[in-house]
Amino acid sequence: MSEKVLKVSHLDVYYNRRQILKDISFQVNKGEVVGLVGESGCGKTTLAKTLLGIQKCYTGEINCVAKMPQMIFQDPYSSLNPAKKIGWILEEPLKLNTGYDAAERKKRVEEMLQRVELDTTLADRFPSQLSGGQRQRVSICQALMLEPEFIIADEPVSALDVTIQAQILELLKKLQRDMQLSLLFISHDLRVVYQLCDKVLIMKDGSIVESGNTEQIYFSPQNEYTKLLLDSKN
Amino acid sequence: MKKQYDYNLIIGAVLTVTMLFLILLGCFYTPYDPDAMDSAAKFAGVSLKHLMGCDQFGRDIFSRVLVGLGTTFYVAFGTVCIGTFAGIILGAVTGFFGGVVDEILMRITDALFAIPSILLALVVISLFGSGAWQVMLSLGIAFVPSFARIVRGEFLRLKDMDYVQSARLAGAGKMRIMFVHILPNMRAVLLSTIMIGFNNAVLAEAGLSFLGIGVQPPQSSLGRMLSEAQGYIFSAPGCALFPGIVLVLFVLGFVLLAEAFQERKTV
Repeated sequence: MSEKVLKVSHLDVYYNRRQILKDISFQVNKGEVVGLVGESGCGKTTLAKTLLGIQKCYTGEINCVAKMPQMIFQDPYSSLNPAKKIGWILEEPLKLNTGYDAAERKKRVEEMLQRVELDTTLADRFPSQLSGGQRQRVSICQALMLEPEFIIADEPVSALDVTIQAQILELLKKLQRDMQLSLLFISHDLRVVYQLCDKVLIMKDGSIVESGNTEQIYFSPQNEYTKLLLDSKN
Repeated sequence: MKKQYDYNLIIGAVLTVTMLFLILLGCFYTPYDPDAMDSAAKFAGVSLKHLMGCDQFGRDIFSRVLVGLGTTFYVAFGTVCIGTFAGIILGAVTGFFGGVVDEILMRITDALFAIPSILLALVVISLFGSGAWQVMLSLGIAFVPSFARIVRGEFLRLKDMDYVQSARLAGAGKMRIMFVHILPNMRAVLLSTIMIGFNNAVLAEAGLSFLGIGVQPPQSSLGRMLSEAQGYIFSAPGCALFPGIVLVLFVLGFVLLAEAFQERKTV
């Protein structure tokens, strides 16, 4: 379990000459789910974008061992291209990165759709014809197409209603176990993080104020802010 | 579910197909030579012999409409093609990449915006002579800035969408992201822009022909026929009426069709 997929040390991120993230250091091991918790605007999404190379203005070191890390986005209504069919969207990563022919790609897409518990006939639909929960399953499916080792999930359930949230979390948990995924799970909801994560990072105003095993953070928080967060949830 | 008829689509399709048929017909067959003058038939009324009557030179209006429709269509079509193609490339590059390229290209289109299209047409025509091709070229160039701006705006709006990021993570290159992932999402906007552009092109061609720097006589175009007929609008209304009606139906069919497509895309 000590094999690492991502190691970040002393990361500072700037946006428009303002420092957004300060001295971030953490590590994600193989098969581990790390929760990143903080209030809105504290820099969680910026951290995700920096890790994926979308945000480029930073100092410090990001050492990502995993090939082609993927991301699951918060809003399932903007993360799927509305002009393309589900099948096309799911085939795209295969088209660009593997030598599969059309029939093989189609087969892979169907396998993956079954894995995220969706009907394979959905491949012929447009994203607008799907519900929020179905769309988020498709997003997960898309992130899994290339069987990545490391996925960042940026509030993947906060745009969904509660019953669907539980189902998606259940699915993520199952897939994570089955495929030995490493997951950086970003959320503002401590209950969700508690269900899913092995380790938790608590973030405030662009820096990590506390980190540790989930149990330890939950039952003996050291930092005042962590205590405040826990109190407000209970 | 009750079957609903899409009247926009039906009427638009019927009009457009009829017009395209007339254009095609005009390429191969006209009842009379569209340029042949017949002094005996001057201002002849509507009859079986002359379906739409004759003009001031005794030329058969129906034959001239058939040929003129074709000329108008291909000038407008060419104009829109040039404008759309160049506009999409320019707008995509400036909107997607931004920065210095965006600044430079947008200032050039600003400058182009400042020149009235008639003036631009005059410049092109004085350089290359007048005729259908020159009209197409000059109007096409004049159309580029407005197309480029619209496409640029759409790219600015769409380039930071999550699905674009996700395409990037899937390993798609910049060209693929621009033209395969982003471009299809602006087809509704593009379609309506093209339709408006097409109608503008038809009018601009008529305007240029009216000024005598467009399509040259004896070649006919609907715009040319309208401007020639304006002197006789009260004594022989048919000379202006028939080309006018055909022009309106032509544009109307196109607009209805565009509207039907647009509705279909957004549902």
